[in-house]
Amino acid sequence: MIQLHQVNFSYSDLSVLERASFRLERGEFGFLVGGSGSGKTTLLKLLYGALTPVSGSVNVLGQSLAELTPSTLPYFRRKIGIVFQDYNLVEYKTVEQNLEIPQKLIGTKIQLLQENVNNLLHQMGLVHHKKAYPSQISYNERQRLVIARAIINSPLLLIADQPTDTLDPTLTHEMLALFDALNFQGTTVLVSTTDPDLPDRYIRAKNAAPKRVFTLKDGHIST
Amino acid sequence: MAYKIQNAFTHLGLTGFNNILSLIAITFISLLLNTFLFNHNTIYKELSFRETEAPLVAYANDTVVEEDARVFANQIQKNEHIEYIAYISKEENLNRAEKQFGPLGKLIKNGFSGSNPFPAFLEIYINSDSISRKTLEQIAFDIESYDTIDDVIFTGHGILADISRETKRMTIAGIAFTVLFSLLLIRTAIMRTGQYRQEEIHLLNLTGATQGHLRLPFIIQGVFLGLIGSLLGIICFYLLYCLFIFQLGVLEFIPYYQLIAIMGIGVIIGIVSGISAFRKYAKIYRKRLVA
Repeated sequence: MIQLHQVNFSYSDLSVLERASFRLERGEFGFLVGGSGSGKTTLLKLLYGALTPVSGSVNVLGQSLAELTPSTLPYFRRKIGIVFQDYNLVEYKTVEQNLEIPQKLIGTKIQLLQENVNNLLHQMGLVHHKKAYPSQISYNERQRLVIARAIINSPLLLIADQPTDTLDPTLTHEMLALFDALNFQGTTVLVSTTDPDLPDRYIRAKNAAPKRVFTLKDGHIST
Repeated sequence: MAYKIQNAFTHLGLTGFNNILSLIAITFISLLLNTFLFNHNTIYKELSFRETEAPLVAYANDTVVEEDARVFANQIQKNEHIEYIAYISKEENLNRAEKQFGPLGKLIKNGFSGSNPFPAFLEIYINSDSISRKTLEQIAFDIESYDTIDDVIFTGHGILADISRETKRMTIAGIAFTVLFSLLLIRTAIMRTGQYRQEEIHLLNLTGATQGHLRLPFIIQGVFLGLIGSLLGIICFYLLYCLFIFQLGVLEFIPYYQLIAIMGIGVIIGIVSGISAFRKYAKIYRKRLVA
């Protein structure tokens, strides 16, 4: 499902990943743990083709990213749900309109689109804010909106970049439970976090199934 | 497709004030183009009315007999710019006056039967489309230097042909200016909208929007500004035309095919500006768009 093999990546002279390798199978739930500035976001960007490795290979959803062209890349990305670290919400669109974007991109019929949007707004507790703008809702609600937007197209792979770092413990567990539910339905999930104890804490608190944990340190990945 | 179009119009609405300013500027430019075309058309039409008229008329002095005038005509016809020369005798000139003055013509003819005051003259036809005003003046000056010629005058045709050439040049320059300035203006307006929307474009790019999807709003904004701007220019010009119709007299409005051409040019400028703006945008935000 996700396979990184001997990946090197650097920003100019700053090396971020050095011969990084890991593998996450289809249907698995993985945590990518690493300190601030360790290269988690960079690694995740490599997975959805926002960055290209200097060397090594990246395979996601059975697709070698090196083989993707500018015309095939968008269709590949439609299979992935991304929870961005910096939200990437469109400030001049309402909560509802923000949620509609991925659905409209894949050409979902209007009736089904509205149904999906309403269901997800209910599920995320955002239905009362559907006409509000992102700046009018709390950070927690924004985070939920970003997650809703990432999962609305039922992606095969969900990549979440530090989605819980700004949330309190209760909400963090709620959010991970949501990811867990998605994972139970077959979506492969990869969540990055700066908190090394989060996976264990969550598993204990929710009595959840064990997760894969990858640690990123000094450009290397260990399991 | 519906979303692409909806997205394009959202793109347009986001920087409404910027678009309104651009529209005003493009309307003004289109108005200018309409004025150039109207001016050119009017002069060209007037010129076509006088197409059969000789640009130069050389009046012979009364001592010259027909034989000498014809010899003289053959002599000056050697000038490469002169197409041909028609000799109009004193009698023929009197006959023309008779026709020209209508009911009074007969009276004039009878009155002058003893001593005809009308001079003989040469109608000098010149390929005036290909020569400049200066050359025409030089030809007139050369002809006037002969003793047999009393005076040489420019008819309206010569002057109009000259003005027509100037207007043509101005119209071409005007069109070039209009096209370039509109391109620049529309491109800048689209770029501004692109900058305003950059977060959304970035998001769309990362969530699977194709390059065509991202480009379309830029093109639609260009077409909108180009088409509406040119249309508003035409409307403004028509209103001015209606306002000054009494002063303008019988001058006709710009023909419909030229109006369609103006709008067509507006649309083409819009498309080119949209594509160009997207390229520029992609160049600036390449990392984001490639990413």
